[in-house]
Amino acid sequence: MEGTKTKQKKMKDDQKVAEKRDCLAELPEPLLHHIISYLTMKDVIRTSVLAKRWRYTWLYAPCLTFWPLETTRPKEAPFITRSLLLHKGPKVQKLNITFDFSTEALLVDSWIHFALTRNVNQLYLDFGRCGTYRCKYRIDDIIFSCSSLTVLALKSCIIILAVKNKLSSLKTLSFEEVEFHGGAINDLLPSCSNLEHLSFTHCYLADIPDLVIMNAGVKTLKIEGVSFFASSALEIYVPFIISFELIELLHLTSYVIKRMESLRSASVVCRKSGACLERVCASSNILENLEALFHVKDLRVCSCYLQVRACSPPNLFVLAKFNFVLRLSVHSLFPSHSPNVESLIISIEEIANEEINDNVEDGEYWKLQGPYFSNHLCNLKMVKVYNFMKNLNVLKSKQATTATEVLLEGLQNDMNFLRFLLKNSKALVRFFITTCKNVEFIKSEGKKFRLLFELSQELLAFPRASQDAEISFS
Amino acid sequence: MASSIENNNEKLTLKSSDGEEFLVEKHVALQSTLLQNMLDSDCSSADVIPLPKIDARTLALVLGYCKKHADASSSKQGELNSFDSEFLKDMDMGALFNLVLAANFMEIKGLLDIAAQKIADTIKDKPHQEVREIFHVENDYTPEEEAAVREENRWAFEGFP
Repeated sequence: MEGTKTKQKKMKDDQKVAEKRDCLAELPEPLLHHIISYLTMKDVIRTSVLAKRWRYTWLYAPCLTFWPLETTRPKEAPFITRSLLLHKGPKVQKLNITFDFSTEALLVDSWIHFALTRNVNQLYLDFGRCGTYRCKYRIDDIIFSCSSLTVLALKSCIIILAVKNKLSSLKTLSFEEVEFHGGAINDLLPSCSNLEHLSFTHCYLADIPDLVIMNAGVKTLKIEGVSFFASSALEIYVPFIISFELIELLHLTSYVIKRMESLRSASVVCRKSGACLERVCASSNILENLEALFHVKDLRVCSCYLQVRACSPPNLFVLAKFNFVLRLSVHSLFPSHSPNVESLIISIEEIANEEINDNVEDGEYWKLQGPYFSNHLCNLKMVKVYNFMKNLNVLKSKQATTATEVLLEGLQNDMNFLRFLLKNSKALVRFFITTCKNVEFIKSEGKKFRLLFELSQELLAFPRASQDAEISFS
Repeated sequence: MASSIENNNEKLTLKSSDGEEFLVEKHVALQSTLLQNMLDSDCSSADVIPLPKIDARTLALVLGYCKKHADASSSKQGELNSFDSEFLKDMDMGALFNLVLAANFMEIKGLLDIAAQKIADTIKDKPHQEVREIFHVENDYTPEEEAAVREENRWAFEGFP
């Protein structure tokens, strides 16, 4: 008994000693460097006054992160310049600078030169939230001859390429709000022979006719809101891609997207509302390429693209309506080429009045579909529909009354589609419908509640291929 | 599929610095690059693997983390993220440092990163006096020396007492 007591007491003493010990002093240097890599340079430099052994620690930090200082802006550039000049480490793993650029091009050039002389691996440069079109920083070309780089992320700058590129180690390349001039991008990409992750977000390709991506090793590719000439083409040849996102890119004349058998996750989305529909219908052939989705398990497609598919001649036989407007094409959603879809996410977009075409025959379509499609739905596990009822306000302008019965009738086509999914998806586990929260015109809470109640009753009464599916309607 | 079932059945024993033994499924142990390399390089899984730098309390925590990450499929990333943030919550500094050392030694990148991030967050934006207190750093500067070092780097101290 006494023995255990002494033992307990000893353990308590040990614990006290443990609590008092200087934990940071026990860390091996690489581990300490790893910890301070999560701090901004200002915090790292301030560790110099902790104790004597901390005095020079910051000079050898391998990861340097500069964040806009909270103090006055004119001090920022000197702060960064001074920190870099004093830095003693033989190697810089990561340099991350977020800096509101205005006219300091010479200074910024010198920072990039610093990084290159230290064989930097990861370079993140963000020039700004306040950078206007006129005073964007033009990236020093020398950056593209840095063969040690594995990650390069550039934001808000201009690229006009003059030198030959040697980005042979680069694995990740990302551009945001970057302007490319003089065909820079098509010169740059071929030199990145080991590229795995590529993304363009809100970039501007000034005088480039086509964007051609043919880096064989690319695994993830994201293209969001890139401005081209309308006559441009987008050509993608990436045989081993796993994840592909295409967002707000509807206006091009030609899309060539080849050979994506390895694709596992795809997202083809237009975040803008119905206004773009017309443009899409007129020219786009992008949905032809959904044939590439054979192995996709995670698929997002937005209504605009489905609309395109529905309009393109070869597939006219499969039209149905969703929320009056989303004329779903079965071929694009569950093509016989894509039997592996496991999750289906549909977000209803807002549609302008003139797009409405409530052809009842379209609506009846889903009612008639059965066995033929059940094979294509055999792996579907999760369905999520967002913004259900989003376009009810369009109905309002067409109908004098907004009685619940009228609204229910208006939603009938959508419900038929949901019924189709429930009836034929044998593997279904989750089925979530979220209604649009801003259905403006149903002012009376009681009326809204009644509508939701009626809809959920109807939904629950549908026949289900998967008895265990969890259904949520909110 | 068959190979993963096979792996699930295999177990190995890890021994902490204070002599406690832990029976671990192989796929859980593989979260550690150190153990993975040991297993690859022909160490029989019947042997007891000693981890002389890691005490039982820390090893139990580490294995809890590994089990969660080994069992969750990649589609549950959101769940894993919330597990990670709960995992270190309310942990005292001593335990956190033991954990970061263990993760470093056993080469478990995910755990190393979240633990290092947590320690860094504790330092972030705090006046150095407070950092000293939290980590029990003994200040061996004389007041004059401290003032001199501070002056040397005064551009980094704006807005701090």
